Amino acid sequence: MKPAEILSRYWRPIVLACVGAGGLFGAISATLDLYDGMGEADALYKVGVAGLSIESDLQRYTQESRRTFVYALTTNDPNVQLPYVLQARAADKSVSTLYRRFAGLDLELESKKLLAQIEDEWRSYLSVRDEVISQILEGRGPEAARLERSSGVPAYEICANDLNTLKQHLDAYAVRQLAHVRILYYRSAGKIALLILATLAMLFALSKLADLRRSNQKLTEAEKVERERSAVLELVSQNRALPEVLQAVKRLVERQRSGALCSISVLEPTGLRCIAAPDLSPEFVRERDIEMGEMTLEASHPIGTILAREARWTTSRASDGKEMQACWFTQVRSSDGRILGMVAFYVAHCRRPQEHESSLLTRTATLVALAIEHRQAAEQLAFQALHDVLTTLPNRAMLHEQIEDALSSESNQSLAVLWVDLDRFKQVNDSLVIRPVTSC
Amino acid sequence: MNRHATIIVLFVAGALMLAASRSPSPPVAVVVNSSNPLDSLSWAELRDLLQGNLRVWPNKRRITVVQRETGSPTLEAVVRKVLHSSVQEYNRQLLNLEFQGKEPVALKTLHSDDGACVFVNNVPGAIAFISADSTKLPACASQVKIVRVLDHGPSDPEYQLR
Repeated sequence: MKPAEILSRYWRPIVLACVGAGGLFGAISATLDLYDGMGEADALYKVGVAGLSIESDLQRYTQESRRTFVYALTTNDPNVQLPYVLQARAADKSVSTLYRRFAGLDLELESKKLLAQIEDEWRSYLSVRDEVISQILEGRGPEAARLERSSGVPAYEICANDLNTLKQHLDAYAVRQLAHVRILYYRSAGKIALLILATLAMLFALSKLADLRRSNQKLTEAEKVERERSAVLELVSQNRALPEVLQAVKRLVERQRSGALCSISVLEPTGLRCIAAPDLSPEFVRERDIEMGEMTLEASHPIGTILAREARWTTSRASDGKEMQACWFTQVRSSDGRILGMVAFYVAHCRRPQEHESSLLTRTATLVALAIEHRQAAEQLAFQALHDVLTTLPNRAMLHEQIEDALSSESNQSLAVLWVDLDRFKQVNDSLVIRPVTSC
Repeated sequence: MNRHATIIVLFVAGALMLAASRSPSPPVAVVVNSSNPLDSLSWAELRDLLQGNLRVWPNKRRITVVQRETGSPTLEAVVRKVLHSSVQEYNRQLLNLEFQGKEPVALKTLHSDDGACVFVNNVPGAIAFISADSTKLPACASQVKIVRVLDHGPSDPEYQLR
C-alpha cells in the first residue's frame, strides 16, 4: 500500500494517534510540573511556614525574656527576684536555640541579612539587660529602671521592629510561593485534562484501528471465501465428479467455520450415502446419518440439532483430540423441494447453532443442492442425447458412437452388425404416438 | 566501789566514742562571679568585706555580699572564723554602722546555697559564702569562681574556713 493510500484510508486514526502522542508529552510535562510544584510546596513549608512559626516563637521568647526580669523590679527581696531572673535566662536560651533553627533554613538573602542583624541587636540588648538585672539584684531598683528605659527599651524595640520586618518578609515569601504553587497546580490540572482528552482520543483511535483491522480481515476472509466459492462453482460448471465437488465444498465450509467438521451426504435409492465425510469414525457418522434421516425438519425450522447429552450419542473425537459435542444439520433440497441429501456440522460445543452458523449451514446446503442438481441435469442431458425421448431406446447417435468406438478399438476381435428393417413402422409409430396427444 | 568504777569507765568510753564519731565541720566556699579577677583572699580582706571596709573590687565593680539567713551553719561558721564573734553580734555591728550614718554594707540574705550561687552568677560584683560540702554543692557552682582563702581551696585539708 502506498503512503498516500495509507494516509487517505487511515487519516482519522493517524490524527487521533498524533493527538495521543501529544497527550503523552503533556503527561510528561504535567508530571514534571507536579514535581516542581511539590518542590515549591516543600520550600513553602520549610521556609515560609516553618520560618513564620520560628519567628512567632522568637517574638514570644524575646518578649518573655524582657517581661520576666521586669517583674523583678517589683520587689527588693532577692529570693523573689531570682526566679524571675532565671525565667529570663531560660527565655534567652530559647531565643538562641531559635536563632540556630532559623539560620538552618534556606532563607532568601534579604531575610538572612535581616536575621543576622536581629541577632546582633539582640546581643547588644542582652548586654544592657544583664547590667539591669545586676542592678536589680544589687538592690539598685531606680538605677536599673532608668537604665532599662534609656537603653534597654530602645535596644529591644529595634530588635522587635526588625523581627516584625522579618515576619513581613516571610509573609511575602509565603504568599509568593503559594501563588507559584497555585499556578503550577492549575497548569498541571489543565495538562491533566488535556491528557485525559488525548488518552480518550488515543483509545478511540486504537479502537478505530482495531475495527479497521477487523474489517480488513473480514474483507480478506470474504474475498478468500468468494474465490473458493467461485472455484467450487467452476468445478460444478466443468462437470467434475460430484465427490470432488462436494469435497471442495466441505473444505470451504470448514475454513469458514473454524473447528467444525463438515459432512455431506447424498440421498440415493438405498438411503443417505456420505460423499464428503468428516474426520471422524465412519460408524459414528453413519449413526448420525441414520438419526438425521429419521428426524423431520419443518420449513420454519430447517436446522436440526443433536446434542452429545442425548441418549444415542457416542463419544467421537477429531484428529486434534477434540471431542465432538453437537451436530447441526439441514436437508439439501432441490429447487422444486425434493430432498437431495444432508449437510451436517460436527462441533466441540454442546449447544445449538447461532444465527450466523445456521446461515452458513443453509448456504452450504444451497451450494450442495446446486452441485447435485447440476450434476443430475448434465447426466440427464447426456442420456437424452443418446436415447430416444419417447421409447428411451438408444438412438442413431448412440449407434454411431458405439460403432466408432468399436472400429477404433485396437483389439483384433471381429465386428458384426445385425440390420433389422421394419416396413411401415412409420405408420405404427405415427398412429400410436399421436393418438394420446390428440385425445388431450 | 566496783559498781561506781564500772559506771565511770562506761561513761568515759561513751564520751570518747561520741567525740570520735563527730565529723569535722564542712568547709565554707567563697564564690565570686566568673568575670571577677579575684583569686585569693586573706582573713583581713574577708573581715573588711564583712564589716563594710571594702566596698569596691579592683575592677571598679561594687561589692555585694551574699550571706545565708540567720541560724544557718554556714553564716555562723563564717562569722565565727572571720570575725571571731556571733551572728547576733555581727548583726548589731551592722546596725550600729547604719546608725552612725555610714553607708550600709551591701548585704543580701538568701535562703539557699542555690539562690546564693545564682545571685553571684548574675551580679558581677557579688561574693557569697556557701557550703562547700561536695554532696551539697549547688548546680550552678560550675558557673561561678571559687576563691582560695589563705591560698587554700575548700578541698584542701589545711583549709581553715569551715
